[in-house]
Amino acid sequence: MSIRVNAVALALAAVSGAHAEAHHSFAAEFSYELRGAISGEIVEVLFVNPHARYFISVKDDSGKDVLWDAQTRSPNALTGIGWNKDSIRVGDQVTIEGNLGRDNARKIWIREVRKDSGVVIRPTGEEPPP
Amino acid sequence: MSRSIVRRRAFGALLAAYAALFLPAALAQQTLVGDWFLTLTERRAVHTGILTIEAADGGLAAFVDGGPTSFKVVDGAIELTFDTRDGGGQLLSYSLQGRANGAELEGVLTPPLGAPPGTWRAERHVVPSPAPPQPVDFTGIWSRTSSGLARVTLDYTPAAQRVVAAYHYLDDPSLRCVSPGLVRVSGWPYPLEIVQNDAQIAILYESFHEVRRIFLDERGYPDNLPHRAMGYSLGHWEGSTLVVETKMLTPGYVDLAGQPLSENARVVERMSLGENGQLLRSELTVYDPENYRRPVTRHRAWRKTLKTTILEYDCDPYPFFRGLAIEGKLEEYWERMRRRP
Repeated sequence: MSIRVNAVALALAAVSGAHAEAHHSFAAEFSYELRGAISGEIVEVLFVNPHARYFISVKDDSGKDVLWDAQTRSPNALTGIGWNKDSIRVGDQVTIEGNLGRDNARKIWIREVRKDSGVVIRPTGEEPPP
Repeated sequence: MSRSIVRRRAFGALLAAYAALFLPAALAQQTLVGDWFLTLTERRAVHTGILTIEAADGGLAAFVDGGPTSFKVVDGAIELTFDTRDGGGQLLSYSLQGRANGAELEGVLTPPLGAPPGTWRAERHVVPSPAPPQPVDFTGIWSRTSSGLARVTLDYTPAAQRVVAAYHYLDDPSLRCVSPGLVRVSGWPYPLEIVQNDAQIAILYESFHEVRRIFLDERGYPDNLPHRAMGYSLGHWEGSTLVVETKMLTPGYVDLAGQPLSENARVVERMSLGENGQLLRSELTVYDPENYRRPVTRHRAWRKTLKTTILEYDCDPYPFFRGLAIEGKLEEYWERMRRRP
């Protein structure tokens, strides 16, 4: 099982963070409280507006490969903190931690990406000057 | 003394006693009625809004930026609570307690999410009398510093209420890379560039590659052009404030909860400089009686940022539809789009 869910004690962390800059309805699509992590292989990278998006193949409970939809901030916002289209590539083995989709949707709002190489990247950091 | 004089005097005394008892309260209420310019100060931010207090059902009702509030005044003590949202659409609430102090209202502010208390004050909102044009230079690249308050619940007509009730977040056109229109694009968190001459001001938004031309040459609205997401804008200077009126907008939404905008809406923006020309402020008002029983207001601010570059807005709808397919919602989505108003 490669999906871990940490529902408790993370509500505080969920209050701040990347979604504060979003301008679509994060609240309708993702849970503020329910955080979790998925592990698998990146199969598609879309470093495009409105949100950078990564499709990732994850083994479900029965061992079957299923696709998850991982998304984060806009490319322009990410570029400002040094995250570019090659930061995560097709074929990378990663663990993604973040806010889980509502209604058990297989989607996650990225808070942190941990690559098997040990590299950790986050869609936050020093904001570009106001 | 005749009986009628005694009666009249008794009635007069009764009237005086009644006035002594009830007039101060009535007067106090009366002095609250009107439009106020509201400033909320919390640790990290200052927000401004328009507070309107009206007589209603023997008491008072208050509206902030065109949206209803929970409002009461007891012995001069004011309590006001209203909703707003964060950037992700989460519903938040501000509470204000205070009272009149001279010509102003002021008190303690309770921000959302357990943030430390702040302060608030309100002064009479005065619409400046027309002043001769004194154009100023808005040229430059501007980055948003404040998204302002974004009221969620507005003073809906029954028609608008039905649209909001039926709205689903997938109806947001920006998810499939379609411009969400003037009211939303002008408040988007990405920078904008202003290019200006005597006849026209162009605003180049990073968001959706939108380009707006605000014509200053005293033309009227054309009658042979289709409506579009950013509408058709005519501007003039009132003193050093640029006043822009926009009509010919396509129907859409003013915000994330599906608050509708009709094709007959009129949007007025009052834009001015502050802080030695480094700050650009806009008060945007939506007049759309088909949907709202009172105008909806938004306050935004941008700071001049010479080092910022306007980037491309490469938007690709593919991942949105791919995501729907993964969720098994694609068929439902086609059907929803087919039935959209």
